[in-house]
Amino acid sequence: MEEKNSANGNKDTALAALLAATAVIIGFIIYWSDEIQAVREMLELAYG
Amino acid sequence: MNRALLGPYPRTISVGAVIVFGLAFALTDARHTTWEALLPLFEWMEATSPGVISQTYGAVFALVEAAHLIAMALLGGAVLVADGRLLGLILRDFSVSRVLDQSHRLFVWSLTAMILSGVFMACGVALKVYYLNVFWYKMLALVTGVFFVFFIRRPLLRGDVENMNPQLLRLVGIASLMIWFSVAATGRWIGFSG
Repeated sequence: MEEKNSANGNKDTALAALLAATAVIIGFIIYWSDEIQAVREMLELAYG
Repeated sequence: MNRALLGPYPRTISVGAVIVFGLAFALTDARHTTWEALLPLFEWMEATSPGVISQTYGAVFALVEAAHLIAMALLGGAVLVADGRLLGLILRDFSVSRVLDQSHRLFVWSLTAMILSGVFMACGVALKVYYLNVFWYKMLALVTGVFFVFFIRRPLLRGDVENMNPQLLRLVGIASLMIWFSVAATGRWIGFSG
């Protein structure tokens, strides 16, 4: 019973890490690509 | 208690709930309402002793900023060492748990120094940072980073790291690097804004 709880706990921690890491990576890509795009648009406005 | 309420996956459900709450907050008017409600706090911060001192004595602000940058460098070093080991890029002769335990101590001290000096500096320029979008992104990245380290990475690596899925460890290492890169980059961006 205790072993099963421990296995479930490890699986829970691993799943939580997978979910959080995926969310962070997606958020990072969206945020920084948006910022880079904004800079490109400003450069285009300034220099054509 | 948690297990009774959330079943066998309380941590995963909590992380999912935080993500859903964060998305709902970002995509609704709640974000703007909260921002407006925080204005009196930032006005008060400028009137506090740290706010008055850092506005009056530029040298004090510069000294605290130097401490803030040193703390950030130390924190960056701790993150690079820990995540570099997780990714299998450095210190491969040492066990993952040993490298992570040692770097975590440095991480906690430098994070504390960074937050204390950061609050002092924010008091001096409270209204300036209040109107900067990038300041709020930095706060979001910082809160995410602290949450990620103490609620995700530490509990995960307290287990049997050597027998853990290496792909998961790499994913966690990459995510951690991305968060702290964002904290550092948005922090420097504040310095160059306004």
